[in-house]
Amino acid sequence: MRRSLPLLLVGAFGFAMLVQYFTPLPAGRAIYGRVLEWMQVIFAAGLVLGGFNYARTHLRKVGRPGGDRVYSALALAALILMLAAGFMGGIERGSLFLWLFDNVQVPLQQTVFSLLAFFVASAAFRGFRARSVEAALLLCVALLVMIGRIPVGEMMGIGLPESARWLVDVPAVAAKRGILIGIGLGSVAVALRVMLGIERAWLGGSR
Amino acid sequence: MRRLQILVVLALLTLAHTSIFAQADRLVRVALKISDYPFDDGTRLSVLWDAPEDSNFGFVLLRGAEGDVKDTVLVALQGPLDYVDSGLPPGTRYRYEVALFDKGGAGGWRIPAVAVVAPEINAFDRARLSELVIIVLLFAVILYGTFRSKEIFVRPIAGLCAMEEALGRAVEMGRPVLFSAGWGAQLDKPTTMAAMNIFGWLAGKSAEYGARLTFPAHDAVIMTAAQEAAHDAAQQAGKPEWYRPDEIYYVTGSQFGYAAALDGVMERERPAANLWLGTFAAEALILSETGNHVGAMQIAGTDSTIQLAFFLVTCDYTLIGEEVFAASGYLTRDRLVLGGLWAQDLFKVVVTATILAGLIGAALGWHVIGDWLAGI
Repeated sequence: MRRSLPLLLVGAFGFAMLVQYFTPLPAGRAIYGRVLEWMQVIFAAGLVLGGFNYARTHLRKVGRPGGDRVYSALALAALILMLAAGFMGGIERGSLFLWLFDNVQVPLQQTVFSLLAFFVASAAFRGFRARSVEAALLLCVALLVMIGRIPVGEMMGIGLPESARWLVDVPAVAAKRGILIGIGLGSVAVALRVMLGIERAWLGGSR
Repeated sequence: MRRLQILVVLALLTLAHTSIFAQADRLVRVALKISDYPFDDGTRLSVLWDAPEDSNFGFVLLRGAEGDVKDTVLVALQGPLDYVDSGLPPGTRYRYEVALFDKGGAGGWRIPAVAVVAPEINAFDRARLSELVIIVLLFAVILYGTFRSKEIFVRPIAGLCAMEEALGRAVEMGRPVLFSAGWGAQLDKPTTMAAMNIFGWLAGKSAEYGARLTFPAHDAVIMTAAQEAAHDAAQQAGKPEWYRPDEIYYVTGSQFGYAAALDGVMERERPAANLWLGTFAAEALILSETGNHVGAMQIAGTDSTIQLAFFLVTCDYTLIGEEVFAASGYLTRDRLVLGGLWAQDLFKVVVTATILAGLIGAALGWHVIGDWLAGI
């Protein structure tokens, strides 16, 4: 029962969603809309569950000896501060919650995002080392595309921008579409296997 | 030119449509038939117009909601026409009329309403017929492949072969294996399901070898599913004590918060292996580059084509697209799942052949397949 009920539900909802995609009947649309609402409810419930799990995980870590406990204490303090600010002062413009979000959360996110510039540089340096014929080819193509995309490439007047555009628009798109076709077929196959209960590892363990 | 024509018609209609109406009935033999467009979502009506090609008159099709005096000019007519009036709200009744005008500019008038019809919603939308045919065929092939009793050969996939090596490395080094299903999707996406399938297998093997497996999740539903998978896997491996729910925990739903948290985990715990399997977005490079920095063995697999390039340069092994979906069958050697892989490959051959046929057809000026593919 512990396994068969989830499998039954997944199968029934999977096929119901498949049928509603092909029928424009109002009943199909109503079911689809209702399922989307349920997903929102599950998402909201998941946030509460996640919040409890977050608090429990860090409470345990705070209780353990070691230098890392300070990070968990900070994480818990941040959770409590944001919860208190939200519940007591609201989340409207001018509230403490929004001020903290705009002046702490957003700059922190932007900082992490900006690290990408350095990571791209170091990854490119490693990726473009010509250790084999394929890697050398990759390096040549990357150089061509990079130079073709900057004003110097245009100034050289040997058709580099056009070549770069062709490389990005034709061979790269062809390869990407090949991958996407495989992904599409794989997605359908996994979905069907899950709906039919053939694939059960996501429920835990093997079949 | 067409706009000018319509403006002329409207001007003429305003001047003299009532007085010359009798002449229209006498001079021109026309037929207008309006009917519900079959097998649609109730937003279309079919307009069939039959008039002599060599008529001295020009025509304009007008539509108005029943009881409404304002009409919408739909199309200027020259000779016969098969027209689909689309974008209508289902159930609303519409009146159609045709306005005529003398091409010499003598005047204009209207044929009275020939039909008052409301578009109806049908049980099947034929605009999706191609998709239905493809899905049914694909399902049939996958089911045939799944339940046929032949053994199939699956080519070695380096990234999947290396999974046990990653676990062995973790056991030898006494460090954890870090798993992430990415920030880019919830559990409802097939890629995340495929990642959870791999995680289930990995949990079983980790329990068997005694490796520590940790999974910081960005979504509580994924976390719960992973906890269930790990719990059951430990039970089946005969080592229920291996399972520790606090190894699979919720971090945050914020993309870069998630990336920063995992970076912190990697810097502090120095995992022996990182497994990035699922849908990733901009956090992919931040995670894998940090993993590279801490010296972890890295295996990645994603359906995000943009992030594949980053994984390819930062990870030791990368599963490209469909290989992620094949992983479950490959790792568990389950015959039913492997049968599905055979079916996928067969269908891929069919898709490739169809695209090639469309390409050759287009080169020869025969666009049927190309148009059909473009319309899907």
